[in-house]
Amino acid sequence: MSSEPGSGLRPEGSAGAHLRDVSFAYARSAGTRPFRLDVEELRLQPGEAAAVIGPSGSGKTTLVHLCAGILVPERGEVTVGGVRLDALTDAERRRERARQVGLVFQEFELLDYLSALENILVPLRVRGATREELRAGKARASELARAVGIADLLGRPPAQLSQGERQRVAIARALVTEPALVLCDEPTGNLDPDAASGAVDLLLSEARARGAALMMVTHDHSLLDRFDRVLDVTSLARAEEATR
Amino acid sequence: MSGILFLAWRHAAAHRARTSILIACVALALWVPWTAGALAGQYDQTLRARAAETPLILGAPGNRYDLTLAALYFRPSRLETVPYQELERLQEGGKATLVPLHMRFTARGNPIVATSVEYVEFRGLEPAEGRHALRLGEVALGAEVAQTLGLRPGDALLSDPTELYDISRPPALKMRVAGVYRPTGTPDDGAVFCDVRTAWVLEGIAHGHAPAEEIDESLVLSRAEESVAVSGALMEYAEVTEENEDTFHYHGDTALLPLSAMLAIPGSRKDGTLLKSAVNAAGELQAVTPTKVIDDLLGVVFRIKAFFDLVGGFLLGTTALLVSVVFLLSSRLRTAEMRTLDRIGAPRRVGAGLIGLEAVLVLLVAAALAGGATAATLRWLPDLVSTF
Repeated sequence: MSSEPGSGLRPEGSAGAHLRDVSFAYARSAGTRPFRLDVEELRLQPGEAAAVIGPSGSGKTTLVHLCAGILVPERGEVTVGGVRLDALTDAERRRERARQVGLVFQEFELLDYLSALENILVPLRVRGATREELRAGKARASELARAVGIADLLGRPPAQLSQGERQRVAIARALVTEPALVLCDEPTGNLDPDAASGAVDLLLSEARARGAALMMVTHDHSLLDRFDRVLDVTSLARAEEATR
Repeated sequence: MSGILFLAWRHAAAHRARTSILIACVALALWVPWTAGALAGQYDQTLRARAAETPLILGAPGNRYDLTLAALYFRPSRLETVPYQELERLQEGGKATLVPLHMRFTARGNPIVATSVEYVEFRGLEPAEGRHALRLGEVALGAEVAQTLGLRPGDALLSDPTELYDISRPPALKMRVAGVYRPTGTPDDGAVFCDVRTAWVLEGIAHGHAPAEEIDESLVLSRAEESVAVSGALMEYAEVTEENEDTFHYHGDTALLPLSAMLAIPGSRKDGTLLKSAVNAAGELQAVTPTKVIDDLLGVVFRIKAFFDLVGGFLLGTTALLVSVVFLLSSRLRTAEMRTLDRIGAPRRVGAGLIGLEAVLVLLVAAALAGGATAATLRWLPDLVSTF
């Protein structure tokens, strides 16, 4: 399977995410020995959920960024929603990321000067959605807000929301573009255990309901049995010298 | 609305205090030079226009700026006077029509311009109400004076006493308003016009009182065949009426009665040149071309303005740098936000775009405010220029 750069080809049955023969060197921290992340084959089917585990600095976030197209592998293929992200230009990759990938961060990363509804619509705004797309997006945002239980809070700015409510806004934001892949980087790190459990259940159910593949980095092993697969990133990363 | 523009707008709106202060700073920095420039331009245009309409000014030797500004704008000044006979002598030369100007008195703070009917014709003054001031003791008001003082034809206006505690000086003269002129947008709007004979009454050179044969004998100091000397206690009339008008008379040689300046309206350019050179060669008077004097004056004014323009430029530059610092610090504070947008898939350099658009929004609003303020200033402060 392949696609030409910028062509946006989306072969049938190719939704979800697929990493093949991917290799990427990264540093755990400044001044330390580089590590290399090698992924021979990683395929996430639509509706499939995978947890990514591993100690700090083992490359979990690097893997998420490769899947999102934030990082470009030195070699190999990264396909999301049927589009080869590694073969696109930077501008095309950004556009595809805004379209195909939903992201949920540990710190929620909502824009404090926007209301909850406006925050949910940010992915549509930054990709330059048309008026019709925005209208459709608003309808989807309202539906998502009902689904995640924040329908009454859409007019409020993040400062007037609890941590859990903010996370729900972030989840709705990740799903509003109907992405092929939802990537979550420790989204429950700032939540208490009950809220964390609820947020993961919500993410899993909403992603599955919308046919999106989901990859979640987590340190909370009590949540792992809810995922279809668990990836231990330590099996993918090794010190660079070892590969030479 | 573009997504980035929307975000820039919402950020600016959400931080109202900061945005308002920035807009106010930029608007102020723009308003000052814009208004100064516009006012200077208007001032320049008005000054030159008035000067260009006036071919030649004649007066006693002295400061040519004082003479020109007094003759064109009725600016108060201590001009040496010119005897009326000079006007008659030059008039006989036939090179120009000479218009007398006497501007040594005020009425409720407004200059009393004593002149002849030729001035009214020359400046194109037309009565909106009433008529010109043709009779002794009558005045015609400029539009602004009439509006400010609320006077109409038939009302009375008192001249301002020049020496309040000097009883040898004539008292204030009660003058009748004969008419009100249409607005002209020139210094004529702020003047009170009368005939030169009325000015001589104000000077105390002409006066009216009871006829000599009716004067109380206790006030008569001496009687000769041709003259009667009376005591200073004899009351002079403080108003010219139809009943007492005939009693007004001059003492001494009427040819020596004083004028502040004369406007000369030559028959041709050549006549003007000949008149000017003849007058200046004789040396008893001076003749000046107003446009040349105003050009010299504006040369000085605009050299000073150029300096203030430079200062304004520095202030604008400083404000721009300070605003840049604010946006630079803002961009530092928004690093996390920019990273989030970058990860979500915003175009490269979205941060610069957001900050730049917000800066442009601030500049546009500030420029609109400064433009409005400049227009309002020019609208509400026209007197700065027209009355000079």
